[in-house]
Parts: sequence; structure tokens; C-alpha cells
Amino acid sequence: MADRAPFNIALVGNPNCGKSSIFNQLTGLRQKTGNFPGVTVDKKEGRIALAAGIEATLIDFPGAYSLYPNSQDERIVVQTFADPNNPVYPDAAVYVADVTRLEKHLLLFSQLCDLEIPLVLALNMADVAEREGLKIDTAVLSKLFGAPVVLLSGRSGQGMTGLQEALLGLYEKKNGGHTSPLQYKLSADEQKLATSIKAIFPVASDYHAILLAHHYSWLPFLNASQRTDIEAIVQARGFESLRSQVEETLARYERFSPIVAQALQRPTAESGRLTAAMDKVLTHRIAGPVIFFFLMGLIFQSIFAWATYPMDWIEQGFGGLGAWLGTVLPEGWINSIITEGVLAGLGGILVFVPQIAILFFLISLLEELGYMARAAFIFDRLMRVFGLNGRSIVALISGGACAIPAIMSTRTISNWKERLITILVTPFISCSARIPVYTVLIGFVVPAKTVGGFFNLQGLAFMGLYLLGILTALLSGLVLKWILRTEERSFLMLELPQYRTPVLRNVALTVWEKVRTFIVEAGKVIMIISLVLWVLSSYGPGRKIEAAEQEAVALAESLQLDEVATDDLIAARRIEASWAGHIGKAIEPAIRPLGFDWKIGIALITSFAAREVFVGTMATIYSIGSSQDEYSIRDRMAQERNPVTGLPMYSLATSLSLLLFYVFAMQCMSTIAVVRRETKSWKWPLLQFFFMTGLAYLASLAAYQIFS
Amino acid sequence: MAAATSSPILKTLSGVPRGNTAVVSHFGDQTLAGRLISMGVLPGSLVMVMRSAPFGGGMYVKADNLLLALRSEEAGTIIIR
Repeated sequence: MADRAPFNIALVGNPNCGKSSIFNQLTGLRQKTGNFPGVTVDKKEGRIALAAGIEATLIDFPGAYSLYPNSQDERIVVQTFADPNNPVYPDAAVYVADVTRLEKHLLLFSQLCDLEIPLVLALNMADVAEREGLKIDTAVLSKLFGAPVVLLSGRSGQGMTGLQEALLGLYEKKNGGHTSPLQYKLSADEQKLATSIKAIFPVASDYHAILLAHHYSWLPFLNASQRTDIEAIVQARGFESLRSQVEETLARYERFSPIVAQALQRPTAESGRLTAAMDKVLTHRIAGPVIFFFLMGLIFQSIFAWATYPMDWIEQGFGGLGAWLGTVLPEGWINSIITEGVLAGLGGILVFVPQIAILFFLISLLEELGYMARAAFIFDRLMRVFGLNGRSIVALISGGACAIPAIMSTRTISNWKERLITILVTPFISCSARIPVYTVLIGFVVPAKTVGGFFNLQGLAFMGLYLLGILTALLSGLVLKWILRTEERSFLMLELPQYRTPVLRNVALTVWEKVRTFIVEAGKVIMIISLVLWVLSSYGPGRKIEAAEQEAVALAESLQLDEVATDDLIAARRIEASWAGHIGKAIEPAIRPLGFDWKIGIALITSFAAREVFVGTMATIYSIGSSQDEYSIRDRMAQERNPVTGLPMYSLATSLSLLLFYVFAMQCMSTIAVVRRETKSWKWPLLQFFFMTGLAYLASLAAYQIFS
Repeated sequence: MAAATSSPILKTLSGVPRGNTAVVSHFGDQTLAGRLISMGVLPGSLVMVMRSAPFGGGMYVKADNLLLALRSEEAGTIIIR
């Protein structure tokens, strides 16, 4: 890369063409995620070797149907391909088309041909075509489009070397001129318009100029004066964008459809019979929603049943490591910062990996299968009642793991208002970070009893908290639907892909990417807060900590406490005298009506970073920092007495109040950051914060006042 | 934005009963037309209404070999012959 300019290869295609399988085949784990310049659309790219010593960067573009985009994701293709100065402007592109639905997948390819970028046409699903008895004459297609055509399968990996050879061919011909024959001949009016635009904005092809006429109002690479100039030309010529688009599209289909029909030999047997049979059940009026909820139930059951074991190992591992290091390392602040700061932080991050991995394993399995589009279809009507879109269901479900990827997944919703509402209400869905908080507190509210011979009462309460979150999300949507105004059209118009056996490689890579994102993005915050917390709880104003310690030692002696109890007492007095203790006491008057004391106050503040920090904070406050697991903290909390009444501190009223607080409150710095990034303003995340936390305060207040 | 400029004699896809097939004539709404033709629903396409959405308000259609979920209003802009 040092001695030659990087060779950028774009990977483009319609949604559901199997592009990501091909991307994963070519790049494997050598992929990284970033953003397209200037926008928050995910860009995946990876290094690939075209031949020994020749490397290229493969960039995965969002799926698009044409150069006439309907969503922010779809816009990326046209705004990059029409902008030679764009840093990711491709030197060549691989266009992926599903060979089993080739007639529908060539429109965008035909348009890209006229932009004069060297292309390879990759006909995907060769294995399915073979099984179905579909025959393709690639030479005919190659002649029509003037581009190499490769038959391959992202699932089985067949034909990948052919694709690499074709790309090497384009690489060697670099700057060697464009060979595609013109796919669409402009009308006389369009020709004149293109000539006028090219006079002020020199672009390579006439079609490129016409695209500027269609999209000048939003294309980000145009400056204000270029925009005004193009607008003036467009208006002077009476150019009608929509009519021109329709005519162009029909002309393109007319050109390639007969040749595609000639190149394809279809078997007489109807394909897609399996999909039809499956949809008969899966999108059925009654069976459809029932199966959906059954699947979601299964997913949550799996998270709770499977994730417990690896989570226990991680917790025990870190507990053991902390205890061992505590004895090996010399006493002092280094020992303390490593065992109570760094290890606590690391453990707090890694403990979520099993849940995130399992959830995304199952969700991407369903996505790969083609089921998620059906879920959007089934729930579109229902979601619209709440100001959402059928596609919001995916975000709401993903919100069950973490609001951050869920909010990022709303980019497929093209209507701004529906997307915004989805973003604003998704954090109400109980995410995995609330699980440890619920786990610690739920035992104080409901006993571990089995009802009906099968259901665990605490499990049911868990489900109740989730339902409460879902209900609040939907009701908030309803409110927001009436408050927010928009002129923009909303539509569903969703392609339902054929069901396909999931490719485990794709699923595994999705899981890996989500886990890595969590560890890197959320992990950073959790780690920092863990260290800040360590400082806040280890140091205090002046020499108060030392004074408190001496006092505790004296008290322990007079009470004749044993060694363990003495240490506990010292630790508790130390934290009370620390900065954290002072902050907690300062906010105590505001949270006393909710049944919270200053210790909970500390936890509320630190867990604003991320909800799960609550558990770690409780461990530190109750001086059992070396054992971070929920059950030992719960046992310790159960022993806590109210200093005034002598009754258990975590009574039904306080615990319920605290649980409700965590159901509703926006206790997540990372979510706020993501919402700001996605809405491009501080207005929405701040509104969301005050709305959610205000609601939490009122709910907790009501619960405590009623039950105490 | 007015949805469709359909006169009463024009029939749209939203009126086609389940299990029936219709041929697309043209579109009553230009924005939606742009998206439909991008996806491959063209004048002359054969559209079969497979089923209606579980909670109402939409339909599942098969246009040539493309499976598509449409809202009723969207289907109402597809004029059939």
C-alpha cells in the first residue's frame, strides 16, 4: 500500500442479494467497521489480496434498488458513485445479483454501467440455481453489459477465485478506459439538460450529469452555488425528475429484460415453493403473531438459560483473579486500583458478552433465514398505531440486548418521524444491562417460589418488568405520534426475501462484530467509570478517611468484633467519608421520598454511565469489591438494616421503587451519545433523558409511597 | 400530497381479493411509483394477492417472482387493468 495508491473496490447490490455472504467470504475476519464520510451509515471494509503482492480494499455498500434512493442508507451509493472526489470513490465495483431473480436485480447494475466505473457482475446463489436446474449463459450478459460476469455462491464459496481473477483484470486495466456500452440513451430533452450541466459541472458521462439534475437538492458534495446553478438549469428546462426516472427505468428494463430471458433457462418447476409453504404458516393471520411471540419467548429463555453458565465462569474467574492478585501484590494503592478498579471494570464489561452473543446469534439467524422482513410485515399495522413502522420491531427487539445497536438499526426506516420515535422509545425496552440490576433486586420483591408447577415466580416478575418496558415504549410512541409533525411520507413496501438456510459464517461474523463493538464502545465507558469510581470511593476531602478509619478501629475494639467484621466496618466507614459518600449524602434529600439512602444515591450517579455499574458500585460500597457477582451482593444487601427503624433496608417498597427506577430511567451515557449521533442534535437525547428520568422518578415515588 | 388521481372507474390492487391475480396498468402516485419500479413492479407485471396482514392494513403480494409486503394505501396506488 505504501508504494501505490490504494485500489478501492465497492461491493454493491440490491437488498437481499447475498452481498454480505460474499463480503464475508472474501474478507473473513479482516474486516473493520467505520462510517461513510459525513454520515452515520455503517461502512464495512476489508483488505483482500487480488494476487501475490496486490492488495485492494473492499467496501461494502448498503443495499439499494436503484440510483433513486428512498432512505439514507440507499443514498450512499449515488452520493459516492457520483462524486469522484469522495475518499471512498471506487476504482472498480463488484455488483452482486441474485441469479434466481436476475430480472429484478439488474436495474442498478444497468445504471452503474452508465457511470463509467469498471464493474464485475457477480451472479450469486449459483448453488441454488444449480439445485433448481436454472441455466445461465454468462457470455450473453457479458456482451450486453460489456463487463466480466462471474457465477458464484457466497454461501458455498464456489466461484470466489473467478471473482478475484476478474478483479485482478480490472486492476491491471486501471485507467485503461471504460468499455461498457451505453445502457440508456437519454431523451433529446435530457441530452440538452446534460450538456448544460456538464458546462458548469464537468462530469464524465451524460448520465452522471442527469443524476445531478435529479438529486442536486441533497447531494452533499455540491456547494451552495453549484446547487443554485443546477437548480436554475433544471427549472429553465422544465425537467420533471419523477417522470424522467420512470421513463429511464422502463427503458432500461426494456433493454435488458429480453436478453436476460434469453440468457436464462428456467426449469418448468416453480421455484420458491418452500417459501410459499412456510409463509402460509409464518405470515398467517393468527399463527404468524403466535409464532413470532413464541420465537421471542424462546430467545429470552435461551439468554437466561444459556448465558448463566459463561457469566458465572467469568464472574468466578475475575473474583478468583482479584483475590489472588490481592494477596500476591504488595499492599497499597496499586493493589487496590488493580483489584478494585481495573479488574472490577473488566469483569463488568466481559460479563455481558455471553448475553449479547446469544441474542445476536439468534437475531441474525432469523435475519439470515429471511424471517425478520416477515416480522416487519406482520407488525406494521400495529406499530403504526404507536407512531412506529413495521421495521421498528427489529429495533425494539434488538433493544432487548442493547439500545445502542438497536438505535443504529433504525437507519432502514426511511420516514424520519417514524425513525425518530423508534429511537426515542427503544431505550425503554429492558436491555441486557438492566438484567444484573433486576437480578440483584428482584429477590427482595418476590420470593423464589414455583407457581403452577412450572413457572418460577421471580422469572414471571422478570417478564413483568420486560412487559412494563415494552408497554411504556409503545405508549410513549403514541404520545410522540401526536406531538411530532412531519410532511414526509411513510411507507412499508418491503421485499420479503426467499427463505434460505442461514449461513453460519455470516451469523458468526455478526456476533463477533456486535461483541467487539460492545467491548470497545461501551467497554471504554465502563472502564473509565470504574476507575473514577475507585478514586471517588478511595479518597475523600482532607483527612476524613483516615479519621473515619481510626474511629472504626476503636469502635471495633470496644465491640470486640472479629477480624472480618472489623474489616467490613472499616471499609464501610471509609466509603462513607469518601468523595462518593459525600456526593451520595448531598443528593439524599432528593431521593429520600423514593426510599433511597445515600448509598443508593452513589450507585444512581455512577450507574448513569451504564446501568450494570450499579452492581459494581453496590459491591464497593458494601466493601465486598472482590466478589462482584450478583448473588453475594444480594446476600450482603439483605443484611443491610435501616439505621433508624432497624428493619431491612431493602424492603419491598424500596426494592420495588429502585426496580421501577431502572426500568424507566435513562441511565446510560452511551445511549445518549448514540442518539445524538443519529439525530445530529442534542435536542432529542436531552428531551429523551429528561422524559425518561422524570418518568422514573414519578414511578418510584408512587411505588414507595404506596408500599411503605 | 394527494395519494392518487384515480377516477372511480379505475381499479386498484387494494380491491383485489385474496388469491386473485391482476396485471399492473400504471401507478397513481409518482413517489411510490418510483420505488415500485425500482423494485421491479412494472406496468404489465402480474401481481397475485397472496394474503392480508395479520393485524390488517396491508397485503402480501407476489409480483412476477418478487414477494412484496404493501400497505393498503400503497396497494391503492397500483392501478390494474
